[in-house]
Amino acid sequence: MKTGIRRTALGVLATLALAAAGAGYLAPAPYDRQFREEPNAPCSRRFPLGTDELGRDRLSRLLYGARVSLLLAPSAALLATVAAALAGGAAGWLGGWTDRALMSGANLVLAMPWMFLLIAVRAALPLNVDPGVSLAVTVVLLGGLGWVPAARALRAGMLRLVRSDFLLQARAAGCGTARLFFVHALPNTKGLLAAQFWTAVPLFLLAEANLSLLGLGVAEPMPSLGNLLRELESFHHVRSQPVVLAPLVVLVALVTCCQLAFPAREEGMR
Amino acid sequence: MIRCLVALGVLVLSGLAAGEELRFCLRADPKTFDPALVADEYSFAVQYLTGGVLVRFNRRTQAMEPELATSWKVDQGGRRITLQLRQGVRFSDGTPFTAQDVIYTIRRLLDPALHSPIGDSFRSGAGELRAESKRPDQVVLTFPAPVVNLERLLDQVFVQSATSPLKEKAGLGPFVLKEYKTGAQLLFARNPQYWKRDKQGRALPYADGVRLSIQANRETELLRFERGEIDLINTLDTRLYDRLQKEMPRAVADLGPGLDSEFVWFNQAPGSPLPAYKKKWFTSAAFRRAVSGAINRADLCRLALNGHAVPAAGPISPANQAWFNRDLKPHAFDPKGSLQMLEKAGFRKGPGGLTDSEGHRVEFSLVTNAGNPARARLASLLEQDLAQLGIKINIVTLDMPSLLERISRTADYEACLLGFVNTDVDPNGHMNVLLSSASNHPWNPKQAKPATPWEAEIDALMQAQAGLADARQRKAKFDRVQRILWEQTPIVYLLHKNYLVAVSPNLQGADPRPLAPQTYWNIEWIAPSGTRTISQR
Amino acid sequence: MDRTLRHTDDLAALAGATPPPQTPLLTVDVSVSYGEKPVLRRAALTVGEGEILGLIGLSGSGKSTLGLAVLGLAGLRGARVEGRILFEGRDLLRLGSRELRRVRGQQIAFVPQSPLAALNPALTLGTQFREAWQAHSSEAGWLGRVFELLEQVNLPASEGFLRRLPQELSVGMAQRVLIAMAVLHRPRLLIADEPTSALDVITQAEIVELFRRLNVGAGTGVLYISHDLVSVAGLCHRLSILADGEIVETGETRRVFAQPEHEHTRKLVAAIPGLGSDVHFFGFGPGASR
Repeated sequence: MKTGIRRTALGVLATLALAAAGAGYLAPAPYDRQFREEPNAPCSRRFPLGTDELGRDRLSRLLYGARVSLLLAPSAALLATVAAALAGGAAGWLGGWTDRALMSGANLVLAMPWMFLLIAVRAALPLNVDPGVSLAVTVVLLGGLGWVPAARALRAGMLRLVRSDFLLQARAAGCGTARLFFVHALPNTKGLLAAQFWTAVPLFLLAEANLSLLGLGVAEPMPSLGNLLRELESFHHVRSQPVVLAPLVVLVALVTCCQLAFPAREEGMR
Repeated sequence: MIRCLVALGVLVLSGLAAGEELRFCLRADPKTFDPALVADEYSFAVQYLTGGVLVRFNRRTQAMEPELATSWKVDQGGRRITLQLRQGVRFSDGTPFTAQDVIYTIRRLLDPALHSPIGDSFRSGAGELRAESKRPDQVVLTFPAPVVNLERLLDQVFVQSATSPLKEKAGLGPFVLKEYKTGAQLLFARNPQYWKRDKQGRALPYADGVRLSIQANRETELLRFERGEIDLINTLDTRLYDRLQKEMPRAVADLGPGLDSEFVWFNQAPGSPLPAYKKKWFTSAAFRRAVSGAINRADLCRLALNGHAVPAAGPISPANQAWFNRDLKPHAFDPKGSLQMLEKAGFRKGPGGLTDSEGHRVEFSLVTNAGNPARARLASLLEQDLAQLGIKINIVTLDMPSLLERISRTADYEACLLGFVNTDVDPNGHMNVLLSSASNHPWNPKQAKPATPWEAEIDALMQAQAGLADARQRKAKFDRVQRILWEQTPIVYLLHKNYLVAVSPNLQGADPRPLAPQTYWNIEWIAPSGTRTISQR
Repeated sequence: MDRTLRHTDDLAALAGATPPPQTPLLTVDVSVSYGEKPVLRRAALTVGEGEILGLIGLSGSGKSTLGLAVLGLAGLRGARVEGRILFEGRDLLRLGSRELRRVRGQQIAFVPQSPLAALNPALTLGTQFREAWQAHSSEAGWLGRVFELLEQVNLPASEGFLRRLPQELSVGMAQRVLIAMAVLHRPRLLIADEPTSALDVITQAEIVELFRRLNVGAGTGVLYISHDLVSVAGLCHRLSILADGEIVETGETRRVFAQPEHEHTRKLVAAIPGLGSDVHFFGFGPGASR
């Protein structure tokens, strides 16, 4: 039963990833092609998910958007998680002044006026940015913004680990500090890190949409799941055209399937 | 004991009056209740309800009409105005309205220490205002220098009492402010002293009171309208309008184009950090004109604003009956013609897009402000239209402060998509944009002297019209200004948004017009329910 | 009083003769404190080569701390150790952390109290064996040694077993794994901290038997820490009784049971319920094991 669910989830994930990767072949139209005579078209054979306000094929935008988001959010989440593992892990592991320094650093990150910082970043970047560079900057920004909660969780987990019997045992077996940290301690935070990673992914998907309001992230006309979700802003819109929920469905499917396919091992953190 | 009874009586009365209230929303609290300091539309709304003016600009006929002045005469080239005052008028507290009040009001406006935004318009030159009142019903104001469109300015001047102990709280308008809860609501009661009467001799206003709720959220405002909790919505965006139209078709009105415009301009500032070849494109009239001709304005109106807009030919909207240059049509959508124009200017269209004579790919960023969905749609449409010419646009949305920093301080941008909100029909309202020395001169602000001959000509024309009293002469000058802008295209005007309003079908006497305050400009004539018989003028 | 005497008489009768320890393997004489709070005051004991010394004390008496101190790990729990810990002539307290690490696991190994908690839940047994091996040796062939040991401790010597995770083991199996892991590098001394307290009676007996075999077979010295006199009676050659941070009495197991000298020891012996034939003494010394 459990493996059945897992297989299904993996299947859905693989399909989504393939569909996103093959957007160039699968999409009926380029993502920015405006069928200006048919704005807000309902679902039809020509436009399976209808068209948006500018007459762009929703299915095509969804496929391309999923591709952008599948590249972006997991990379950013990975970056944030790695940063959290190192910072939170080191804080919990080393304790003392390292802990205090790292955690006050983390608090500082949380307390910083991020809005202004992001605006400053945008100001420092040239206006004509290559989409690839823009995506990379977005990944770094999201990762740089999002690691603190995960680092805190990891520090707490690491504090528990440091006092654990099996680490004492590993020390008693003569393991060196680096091995203790990377081989014996870190694998035990896998569940925790995975949980942090999967919470970060949907958050970052949405955060990306907000970044584009500041001229960062994915810019029009390129779609992303985040900016496609903006069509949901109006409740009435959803009621009259429930098909605008498609990006949300894809997002939920992505996150759910990821969690089902790669379950965080609870026993990892006891 | 007596006080108690009186309080009860008031309660009973206000209970009865509730059905006769006119209700609508303001999006924010008024910043001031001082009529001389009004600068925002919410403070203006309060004054519009409670204050009286000497002459009123009729939003329907776009002509000046008598109010507290029964007649007026401007002479000495716009330096002097003689006003015949209405007799027997009293302020809301019973203080009689006299010539002294008019003089006091104007003097106060001109007081440099007060920093009155309205007063600025009157301060045409150095020197003292001379105010005389030879008869109690007459005032003669002589300004040190001609004031353009003097009587039109008086539409914004709410007369204050020189002697009332209530000071600015005593008003001459149809309503008096009764209660104000910050962030929640303003309650107005009818002004029993109000002078205006209908043909049957019934005292105006028809409404017993006005309730203004502070409501920033437009969706909520619409919901309250749908529930019948408010009677008016002054400006609807296209999305909410279309939604309301489906549900309450009788309650919405598309008033046609307003005075506002949406446009794109290219950075022509010589001090900007752009590469020389880009500066060369942007300072080329052929390039700008070609870009303008490649834009399908009909599509912009239809897709970005759901058809609630008209293509723009220039800064002046056709809604501005007096000043719009009817000879000008919006640049026609003609990509082929645009391409020919570009080719003549040395550009080439190849498989990789458009390149200039030096082989540079024509690509530029278009900055616009975030949080305006209609503008975002405009940008996407422009991007596609210009892609047809082989021009690549990178759309960058910025927060407003960053955008302003770039366009007005650092000049670190290439093209900008923005809109202007216009409340003034007069050409002088465009001075701060059109004069090459102006800080809001978008494409190249604060020029020491005009960078191009045509900018010099616009400067000269604008200054000349400002000094003329004769409307037809002024119109001729201003028509020429519009023509130059049309030819040189320093600003690619896209469209004028229509004013979309909602008016409850239960209201009688409402006459919404695309000039602020659209739905309630004739508020004293609006009756909240059908119980009264109304004869509009 | 009568009852106590009778019990000790019985014990004395059961205990075998134990020869005195030969060359000292480990000599401890330490004071340990947590912050201002002293836990051990000049606690002194000696484990001879090939000897099993039982360190007996009530919970909280500081016996586990002493075990950790020998391994140089008491500092982890915030303890300050003073005095000397001589192991094969070297004072472990004077060793640098690198040298100390080489002693740990290779020369002195540790068998813990809660076997399941002491195995890393995230790593397979194979990985944990490999880690323990690589901590001191870069030689290949560890797998053969592991299989050999698994057989010795009566566990399946298969790769399938090594692929298991600790949570798939019973407590008894886990403790055997830990014992196998402890003797991987043929240490001279084992420190066993209540190795049977988490086990059922039958498994306890098996583990005790395992220690005996290791001691007899490889001549490994054992510092066997326990709160329970009975469980050590049949295993240890000598006993050291720890009370209130001090070693109050040390002597051959038989003698301690028969003639407890210190008041505390007497109480311990007296508290043994139903002392009978199921308690039998391990009646020969290290000399006899060779």
